[in-house]
Amino acid sequence: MPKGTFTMQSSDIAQALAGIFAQELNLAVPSVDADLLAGGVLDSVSLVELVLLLEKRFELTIPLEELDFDDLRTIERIAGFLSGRLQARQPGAVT
Amino acid sequence: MRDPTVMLAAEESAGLKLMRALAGTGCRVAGVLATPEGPAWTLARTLGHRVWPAQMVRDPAFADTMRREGVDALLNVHSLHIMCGPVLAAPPLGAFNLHPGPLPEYAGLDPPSWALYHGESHHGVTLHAMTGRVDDGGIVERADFAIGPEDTALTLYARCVTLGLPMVLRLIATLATGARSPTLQPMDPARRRYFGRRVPEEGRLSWERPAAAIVNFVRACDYHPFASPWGHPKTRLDGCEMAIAKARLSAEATDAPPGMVVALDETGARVACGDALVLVSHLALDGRLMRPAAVLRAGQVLS
Repeated sequence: MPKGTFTMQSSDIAQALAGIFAQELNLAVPSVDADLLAGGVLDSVSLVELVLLLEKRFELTIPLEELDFDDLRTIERIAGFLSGRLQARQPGAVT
Repeated sequence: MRDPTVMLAAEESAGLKLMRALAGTGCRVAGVLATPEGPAWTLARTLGHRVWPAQMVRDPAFADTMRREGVDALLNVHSLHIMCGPVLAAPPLGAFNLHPGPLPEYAGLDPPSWALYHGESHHGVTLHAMTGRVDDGGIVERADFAIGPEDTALTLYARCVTLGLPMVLRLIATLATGARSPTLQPMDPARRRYFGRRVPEEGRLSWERPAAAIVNFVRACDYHPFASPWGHPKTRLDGCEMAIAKARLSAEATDAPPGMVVALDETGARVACGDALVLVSHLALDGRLMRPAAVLRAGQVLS
């Protein structure tokens, strides 16, 4: 993921996330709006693994204390969270 | 060479991950013992495994079930039920437990939390043969790793699972070679320490203690965003109880009385301890994290 002025759309991030869940975490997610927590897909260890993968893939730092269950409930919401973090990283972004 | 038939006693994230990992191997899962309708139970059903309530391992009659199912080995992954002798003796290749702590030093419950609470520099995960005594028996494999300053109970737990599951898969591969049992290293009984369900200091912070001890206690309780088995350590302000969710060392000396909120800014509250200040970055109120500035004022004293 290149840094700079390129802004990734939330839908693109959701697609990338679906790939990470399927190929790297070996977790089946039926759709981007499926409830990952109620469905038991995202457990404690998977969350830590996911954060490490996202930090590497998107070149971000994601402190665990900044995560809220509401941000993690679906792939769509995780994508929204990441999109906000990526935009905040853009030159000139107001944080 | 024959893939073994295993019975799993599985709970928590580690149990889920092992079930998923075994789905890609030739290992036959005769069934899964789990908390009814819990995540492990649900996944086992989804994968097509037979399920039994976890407490069946306490029933000697379950040994007959295991023999009938042709179980070669029993694998306990984060299930906390104490197994009875006949069940442990039933599988001909043995019964094995994956423990999220270094044995024999950290037997019992919540080893990642106890390791952080004690300020350990290293933690570990152990796969061992089971006896009738909790977290006792010959060691199949143990892996130790360094604890970093940013580690919490959640990250230690996750690393135990990440390092521990390959141990279980290697054990299954060993059993598949026809080996009667893997080579076991005896545990040194003199080094054994057992930790029970009791939360240290009754779950309350004593601000008179050194800053490092305060921070270690907070980290030991930190499973955010998941629930902590210890809860967050509690403190009081003017009769109201609150919990400290995140804190780190500030390396600033102080002569302020222990518990005093010396300063507040957007990064958190600097609170006096026995020897220095700690930076409390998040409080926990009603299950959510919040910044101290929303609640505390400089000069107030936590007790």
